[in-house]
Amino acid sequence: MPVLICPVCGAENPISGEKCLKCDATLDGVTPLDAPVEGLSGDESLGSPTKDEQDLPGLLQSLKDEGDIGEVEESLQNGLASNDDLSDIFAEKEASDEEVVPDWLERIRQRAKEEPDAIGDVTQKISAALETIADDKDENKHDDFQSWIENIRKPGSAHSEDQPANELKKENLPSRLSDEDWLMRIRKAEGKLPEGPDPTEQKGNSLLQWLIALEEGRETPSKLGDETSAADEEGDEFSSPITSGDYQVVNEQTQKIATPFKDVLDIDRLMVDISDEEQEQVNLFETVVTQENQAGQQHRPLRKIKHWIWRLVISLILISGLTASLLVWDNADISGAFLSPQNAAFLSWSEARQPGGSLLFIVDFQPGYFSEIMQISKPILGMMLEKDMEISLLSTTPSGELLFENLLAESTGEELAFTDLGYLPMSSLAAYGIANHVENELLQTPESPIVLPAEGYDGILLLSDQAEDVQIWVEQLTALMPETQVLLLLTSQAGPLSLPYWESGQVDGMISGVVEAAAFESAVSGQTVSPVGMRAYQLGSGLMVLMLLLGLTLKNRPDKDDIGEGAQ
Amino acid sequence: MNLSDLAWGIIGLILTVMVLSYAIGDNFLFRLASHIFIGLTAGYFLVVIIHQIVWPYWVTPLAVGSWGQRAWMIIPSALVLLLIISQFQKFSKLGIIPVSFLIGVTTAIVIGGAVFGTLIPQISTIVERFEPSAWAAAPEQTGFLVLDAVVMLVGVIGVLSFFYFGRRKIEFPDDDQTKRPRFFEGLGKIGQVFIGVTLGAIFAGIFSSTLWALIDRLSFASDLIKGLFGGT
Repeated sequence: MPVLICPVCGAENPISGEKCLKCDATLDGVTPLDAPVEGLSGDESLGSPTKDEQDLPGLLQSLKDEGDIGEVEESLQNGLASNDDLSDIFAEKEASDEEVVPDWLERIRQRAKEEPDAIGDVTQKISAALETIADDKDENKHDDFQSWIENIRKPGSAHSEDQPANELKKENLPSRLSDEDWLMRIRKAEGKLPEGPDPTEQKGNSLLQWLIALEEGRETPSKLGDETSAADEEGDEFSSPITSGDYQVVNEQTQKIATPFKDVLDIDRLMVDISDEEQEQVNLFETVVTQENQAGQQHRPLRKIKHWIWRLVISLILISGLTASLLVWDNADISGAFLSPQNAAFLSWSEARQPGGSLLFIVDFQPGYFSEIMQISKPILGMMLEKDMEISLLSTTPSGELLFENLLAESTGEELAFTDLGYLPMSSLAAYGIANHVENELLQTPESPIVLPAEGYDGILLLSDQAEDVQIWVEQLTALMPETQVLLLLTSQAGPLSLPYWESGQVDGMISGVVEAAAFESAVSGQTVSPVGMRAYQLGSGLMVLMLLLGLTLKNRPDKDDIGEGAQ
Repeated sequence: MNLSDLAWGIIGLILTVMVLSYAIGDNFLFRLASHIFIGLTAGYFLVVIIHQIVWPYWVTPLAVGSWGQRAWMIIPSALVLLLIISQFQKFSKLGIIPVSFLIGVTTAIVIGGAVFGTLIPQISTIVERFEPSAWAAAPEQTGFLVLDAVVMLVGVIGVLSFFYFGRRKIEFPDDDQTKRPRFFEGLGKIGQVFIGVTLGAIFAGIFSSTLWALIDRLSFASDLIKGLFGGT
């Protein structure tokens, strides 16, 4: 007898129906089919399978939602009359739904009476599902999918551990998954199922070839699904239009991810549906990657050699030029150098010191800048020692004490005594401590190094190579000790960003770099000063300017290799 | 030149050459020299910390200090203990307490210093540049002082405008939504000039310092070689 199968839910409807009895979807244009009375098992005649029916809790939930649970339970009672749990669980539904009995259920009941085994599949599945529900109520463990899987694996549940995984999977899933799909029947009936050679036989096809075939219409995504279904029946777990060898790696990776679900999920249906635009992007990407790899492999060693040669040549020119200037030429005379206002202020402050005063030197520079700091501080130290000033040292670098000892020895040519206040890590905390005159008696012991003079210092001289450290020291000292004079002896790199503190009057004098130091020394001594290395310094600066100009000139000239690559 | 000076001079020269070999790229000699310096620095740092921090500020007060000093040492001792046991995975969360204490104190000090040591004094400086009494004090330099004040003000406003990232109000659908308001866009261009000059000065300063460090090493090497071969 021909029936109309709903394209939405798959339910069988009478040939004269305009809408689906189950879901009210329109049946216009649906081709009538013969009702699968003989060929179908009992559960297939239950109507349309929904997606949820592919697992047992889903099936049960679906039945609950659709209000047919009482009917199913009634049919179960015919097959499983001795099952007391069923009567308990569905007792309430039984009374209210008894009077409405659809045709399909009547047929099942009739067959169940005549053939007790005819509803075996249904009985098994419903039984397993009801046990699952019973466990759910007892232990409340099936709130999520994972816990449900674990329950299936538990001994004593619907399936024992002794059962192989494949058997378990097949048993849990509706049997129609291994049979002809109802959707396929619809497609066949509507003529949408193309026929052609089995793509799984196209050994050696690449992904790109398959995508091109797809674009040209020789393949269709729906066909792929059919092919994978066919492959499934043959037991090929990951069959697809691509050869199984191509998916070997994917298969291994996917299995790791899908291990918890492998008993209940089918991950063997890989379908790729791409548009023409995506196909173009695939081709473009593949072309770019291929060319890039080839070009990189061809030109990388050449470029590396070129860069290495350039670095070597520039280094040799710089080092040999500087060495030659040190060995051959006389030192430069910079007596005419301009004494900047901050240098002049430093000079005024130095000359105004009275003999016997106290100074605090803060060493906050790295040993690499020792020579520059030495050039800068040499005239100052000489002046202060001439006035017999008492010198204290506080360092924020571990080697501060050694550096200052060498500084004094290099500047005066003799070892001089000074008060070492020790090493304080972290400039900010050290500056705050000094600014607050760490005079808490509880912190002072006979061996505590920091014992600041009660009357304070005549001046604090900061020797630094970093503008950030200068900022921290000046901020703390000028904010907490505004009456104390702060002076800076800095390397060239710390000078520019420290200058605003001189402009704002927070600093009483400042010298940065060897050029300013030479000018200061010249002003102090009133003689021509020719610092050692000044000629090399001038030569090195000139070479750097030259290299910058060359870099600017050659900057926009493309590499010949790049031109060649572009042409390709 | 005595033997000790000669030995250390040769060691210094070899290490200098090993470091300068980086000019031709990363190589074994440079890495060896780097590892030697790192190892020596770490060892020296440890000794300095124990000698100048741990002993005088922690051990001595606990050993020979008064009861008040010992009681005061409970706080740093507890923080140190927490930091040590936080190295065990089971107690790793306890390390949050001393680290938080350190970060909190440092942040408070730095913020306070930045506000009262930089922001307020620098703003005051800009305002004071426009004080007429300062201009009148040096009548021959009035023009220069006014120009100086104006340039400083324009530079500050320009740089602040450059870092203004607000969006332009959209009046028409085809307006560019990524552009800043025209007023800030124009001032930002001026600010770019000041930023460029500042970065150039910083670059020149860094180059100058590193060049002088290189000259010092070359001077040391040339002096040593001259001394070895009978020079002065």
